[in-house]
Amino acid sequence: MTLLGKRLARPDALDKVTGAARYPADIVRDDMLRLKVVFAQRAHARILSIDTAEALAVPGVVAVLTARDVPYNRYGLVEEDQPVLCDGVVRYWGDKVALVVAENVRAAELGAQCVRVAYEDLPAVTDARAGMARDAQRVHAGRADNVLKHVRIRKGDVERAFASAHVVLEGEFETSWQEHAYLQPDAGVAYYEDGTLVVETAGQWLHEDRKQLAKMLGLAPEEVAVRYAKIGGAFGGREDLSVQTLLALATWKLQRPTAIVWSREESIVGHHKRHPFWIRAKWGAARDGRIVAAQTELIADGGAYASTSAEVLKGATLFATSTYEIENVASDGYAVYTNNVPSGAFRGFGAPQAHFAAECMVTRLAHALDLDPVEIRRRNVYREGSIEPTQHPLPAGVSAAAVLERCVEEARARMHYGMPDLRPRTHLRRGVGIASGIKNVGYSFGFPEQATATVELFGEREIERAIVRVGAADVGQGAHAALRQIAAETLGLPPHAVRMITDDSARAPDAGSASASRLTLMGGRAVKDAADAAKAKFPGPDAKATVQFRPPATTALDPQTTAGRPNYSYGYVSQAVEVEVDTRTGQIRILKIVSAHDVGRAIDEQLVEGQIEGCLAQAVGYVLTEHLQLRDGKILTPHFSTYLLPTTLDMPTEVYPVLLELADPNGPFGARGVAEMPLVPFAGAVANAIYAATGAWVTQLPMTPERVLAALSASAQLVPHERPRDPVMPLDQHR
Amino acid sequence: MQRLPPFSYEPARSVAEAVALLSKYGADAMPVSGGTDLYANMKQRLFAPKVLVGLRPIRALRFIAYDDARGLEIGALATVRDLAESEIVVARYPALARAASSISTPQLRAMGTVGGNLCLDTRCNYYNQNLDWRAALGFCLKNGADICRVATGSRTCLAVNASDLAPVLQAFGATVHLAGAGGERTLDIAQFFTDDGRNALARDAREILVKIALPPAQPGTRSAYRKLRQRASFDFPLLGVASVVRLDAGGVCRDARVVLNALGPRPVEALEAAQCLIGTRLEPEALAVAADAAYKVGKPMENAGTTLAYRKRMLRVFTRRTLEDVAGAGAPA
Ligand SMILES: Cc1cc2nc3c(=O)[nH]c(=O)nc-3n(C[C@H](O)[C@H](O)[C@H](O)COP(=O)(O)OP(=O)(O)OC[C@H]3O[C@@H](n4cnc5c(N)ncnc54)[C@H](O)[C@@H]3O)c2cc1C
Ligand code: SF4
Repeated sequence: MTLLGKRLARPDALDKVTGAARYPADIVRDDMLRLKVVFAQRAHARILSIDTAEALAVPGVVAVLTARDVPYNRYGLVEEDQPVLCDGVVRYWGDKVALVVAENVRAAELGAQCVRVAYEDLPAVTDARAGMARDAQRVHAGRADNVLKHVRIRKGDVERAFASAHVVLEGEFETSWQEHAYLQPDAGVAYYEDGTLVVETAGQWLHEDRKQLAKMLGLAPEEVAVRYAKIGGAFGGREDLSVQTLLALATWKLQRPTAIVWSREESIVGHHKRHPFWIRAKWGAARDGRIVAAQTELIADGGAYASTSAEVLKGATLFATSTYEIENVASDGYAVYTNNVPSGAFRGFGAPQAHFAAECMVTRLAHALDLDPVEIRRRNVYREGSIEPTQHPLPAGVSAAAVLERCVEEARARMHYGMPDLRPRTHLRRGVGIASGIKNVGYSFGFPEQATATVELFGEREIERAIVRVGAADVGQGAHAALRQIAAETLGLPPHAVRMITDDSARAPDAGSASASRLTLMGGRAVKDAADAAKAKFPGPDAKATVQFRPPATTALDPQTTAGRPNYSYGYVSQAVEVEVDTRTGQIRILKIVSAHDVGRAIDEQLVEGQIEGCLAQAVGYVLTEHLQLRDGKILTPHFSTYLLPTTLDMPTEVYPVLLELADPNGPFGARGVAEMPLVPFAGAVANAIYAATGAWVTQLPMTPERVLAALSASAQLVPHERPRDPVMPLDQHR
Repeated sequence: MQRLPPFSYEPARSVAEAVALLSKYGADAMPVSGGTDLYANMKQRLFAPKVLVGLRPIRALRFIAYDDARGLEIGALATVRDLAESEIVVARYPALARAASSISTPQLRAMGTVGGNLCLDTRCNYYNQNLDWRAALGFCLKNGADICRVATGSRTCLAVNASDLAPVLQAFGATVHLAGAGGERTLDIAQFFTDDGRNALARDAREILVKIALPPAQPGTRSAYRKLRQRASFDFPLLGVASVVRLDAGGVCRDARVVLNALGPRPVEALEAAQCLIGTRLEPEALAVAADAAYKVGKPMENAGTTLAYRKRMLRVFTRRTLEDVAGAGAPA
C-alpha cells in the first residue's frame, strides 16, 4: 500500500486554475444554431394557442419547436410526468413552452420575444399543506389528489410507548428551498458524428441521460451518445435533464449542430431545488434517557413535477429518527405536487431536513431529562446490530458511536465546549451545539444498484500502463482522481501510468450516478475488481477485464409491515458548531466547526477534506443566508444579488474536518462515501448551538436575523450561565 | 445570458471634453466611470443609453489631496479602494475609510469610483430586476408607469440611495463640485440629493461630478459608520448610519451629526439625534436617547432585502452602536 490516503496533485487542477479547462459553454462553436427557451412565466395555466408566425419572420430564426415536435413528450428520472415542451397546460413558472432555434443568439432572443402564447390562468397550488386537501385544485388533472407520494414507516407501537414515557415533547419545523448554485450554469451542444446523435453537456449520469434522451426521440440508446465536458459542480442539480432534451430535440429535428447556454437566472428559474419540508415531531423518552418513541409527519413541497421527490421522501422519512435506535417509530412522509418550482435531488437528499427536526428533538429531550445532550446521544446511538426503523439490522460497519465520541473529543480540545462561559455577559452570546447524522451511500430501497468498469493492462513482463474505462462523472469532487488512485494502487502503477476514459457513454461502461455519495464506493469497487481481474490474466495476450460490481441487495418496504432493508451502506457523521449570537440584531456568526466522519478509508485525504469543507460552506448557506423566496409560484430571488450565497468572510476561519477510517465491508480498501454527510446534521448543530447560547429555539430555515430575533423574544429567559431548560416543554407531560 | 444593449463608447480625455460630449448627445448619453453599477443596470435594461461617455481616461480626476487649510479633496475618479487605503483618510476621516472598505468586494472596490458611488442609481426590489420580471409584475413610477408598487399611494418614487459613502460624506459636511457647459458649480452634498427616486440627483444630465471636498478635520473630531447587511461582504447596505462628532478639550460634545441612509432616495439627517448629543459627554444615557430619536425619523419601506419591520428595528440598534463607536465604547463588529 503506497498511494492510499496520499494527497496527490489532481490531474485536472492546472487546467482548471489556468482557465484552459473546457466547460460546456466553452465548446460552443460559431456554426452551431442557438436555442432560446420560451418560459411559461405563470404558475398554472391552460395554453389556448401558440402563434409562432411573428417569431419565424425574425431574420435568422430557423424554427420554433413546440410540443408537437417532440416524439415522446414525457420524461423524468423516476416517473415520466414532465413534458419537454408543454402540451396544453403549464404547471410552473419555469415550464418550457417553445424552443426558438436561430442562426445566432440575438435572433434567438428576439424570436423568443415574438412567440405569442395565449393562456387562460388556472388557480395555482402554492402551499403543499393546502394542496393536500381533497378539494384542492389538481396540479396534474386526472390524479385523485396532489399527493405525489406517501411513505409510511412503522416499528413497534408509538402510542403505547408515549403513554408510559417519562417525558414527551412535540415540535414543529420548517425548511425552505435551496438552489444548487453550481458555478457553471446549464449549457451544452449537440451534433451528429458518424450517424450518432451526440449531446455534450454536464450531468451526473451519462447512461441515464442517454436512456431518457433516446426514449424522447424514439431512438435506440446506441443511436445517442452522451458526453460530458468539464462539469462545474452539480450537487444533485444535474440529475434531472434540463437543457439536454432541448439540444437533442433541435439537432435531431433540424439535423444541424445546436448550442444553448443558460444565464444564471434561466438556470435558477429552470431547474429543480431542494425540497422545503414542514415537519411535526413528537418524541418520548424514559427517565434513564432511553428514547422510547418517535412519531413524525413530514410534508414536502414537490413542485410541479415528480423529479426524484419519491426517493427523497423515502430518505427523509427513514432518517426522521436520525442515528438513534428507537423501539417505537411511526413516520409518515408526504410529497405534494404544487405549482412551485419542482423539487428534487440536492446533496443530502432529504436527510438534512429530517435531521434538523430530529437533532433538535434529541437535545430538547436531554434538557427535559437533565441529561447532557451528548450523553443522551450516547445512550441511544446506533451500534453494530441495531435495528433500523424498517425492522432489520443496519448493514455491518456501524460507526456512529465512535464518530460521536471523536467529535466530542475534538470539540473539547478546540472549542469552549463543556466549559463555563466566564466572559462578561453582553449582547453577544456564545454556545456550542452537537448533532449527529446518518445518510445512505448508494441507491436504496430495492434499486438495482451496480457499477461497471473495464481495465486493460499493457506491458512486457511487468505491467507498464493501464487503461481504465468507467463512465463516472467528475462533477468537480475529484472522482476521476480518486478512481485513478484506486486503480494505480491495485495495479502497483504510478498514477500517471493509468489512463482514464470516463466521459463518453459510447466508450466507457456504466458506473451509475455521481450522487448518493456513491462513486468512490461503487465506481471504486468496480475499478478495483476489474483491475484485480485483469491482473490475474497478466501477462497474457488479453489482459483485460470488465467487472460489474453489485452490492448486497436492498429491498423496497413491505407495504403492510413496512419492514425492509433500505440500504447497503451508510456514512456516519457528528458535528460540533460554535456560534456567536448577537441578541440585539439576531445575526449569527459561526465561529468554529468540527465535522467528524467515518470515511471508511480516505483514498486521497485532500479530496476528502475538500468535500467536507466545500459542503460545509453549502451548509452554512443553507442554514443562514440562502433564502429562495417565491410568491404565487414566481421566484423572487433569481440572481446572486438576492439569493445570498455565503462569502469567504461568512465562513469561520476554524473548520476542522476529522476523518475516521473504520472500513466499510464493501468499499474499495474499505472506503465509504462522504460528499453529502457534512450537510446532514449541520442545521441541527447550529440550532442546538443557538439554544446553548441563548435558550431560544430557532425552528425555521434559513435562520434569518428576523427569525432569530423572533425566537429570542419567544423564549422566556436569556440566561446563558444557567443550565438551559427546555422552554417549550408542556408541563403536564413532564411526569 | 444577460447582455448589454448596443451603445457606442466615447472616451473623454478631459473634463471639458466630457462636458462637450454630454452636451452634444443630450438625453441619449450617460457618463460612465468604473461601470460597476451602470453596466449591471444596462444588462437588466433599466436604461439603454445610445452613447456612453467614458470618464476613466481623465487621469487628472483620480486624486486624493489634503491640506490643513482647504481640507480633503477627492477627485471623482478616485477609486473606492484608493479611498479605503488612503493614509490621510484612515487617519483623519476614519468613518469614510471604513465605509469605503465595506463596499461590495475587493474587485468592485478596485473598479468603482467615488464619483460613481455618489451618483449611484437608486435601488428597489421592484426595479432592480430584469425586463421580463418587471413586465410580469407590472412596471412602476421609476419605469414610466403611474404607480409605485411599494407604496401605492405615493406620487414619488421611494427607491433607496444605497451608497455607503453618501451618508458619511454628508456627516462630514462635504460639498460636491459639478462641471457643466456653463462652468463649475458647488453644492452642499445634502442639496445634491432629491426626494424622488426617479431623479434622485440635483445634477443636470450634461454635468459631471468632478470633485468632493470635505472641511479640514478639527481637533477632537471622531467619526464612525455602520452598515446592516446580510453577509459579511458583497451586499449593499440595508441600512447605513454615519456619525461625526467633535469633542472639546474637556470631552464635551460641541458638534454632532447623525446621517441615516438606505431608507429612501436621499440620506436622512437625524437632527434631533444629533441635538441630543451636543453638550453631553456621550454618556450611555445620551446615546440611548439619541438612538431613540434616530429611530423615530427613519422610515424604511418594503423595498430592500429583509423586512421593513426588521430594518426599522435595527435603526435604533445600529445608531446606538455607531454612537458607541464615536464615544469610544463601541463593541467590535
Ligand atoms: C455586486 C455589487 C455590490 C455592490 N455593493 C455596494 C455597496 O456595498 N455599497 C455601495 O455603496 N455600492 C455598492 N455597489 C455599487 C458600485 O459598485 C459602487 O457604488 C461604485 O463605487 C460605483 O462606481 P462606478 O465608478 O463603478 O460607477 P458607474 O457604474 O460608472 O456609474 C454609476 C452611475 O453614476 C454615473 N456617474 C459615474 N461617474 C460619474 C461622474 N463623475 N459624474 C456624474 N455621473 C457619474 C453613471 O452615469 C451611472 O449612472 C455594488 C455594486 C455591485 C455590482
Ligand atoms: S419605490 Fe415604487 S416607484 Fe420606486 S422603484 Fe420601487 S416600486 Fe418603483
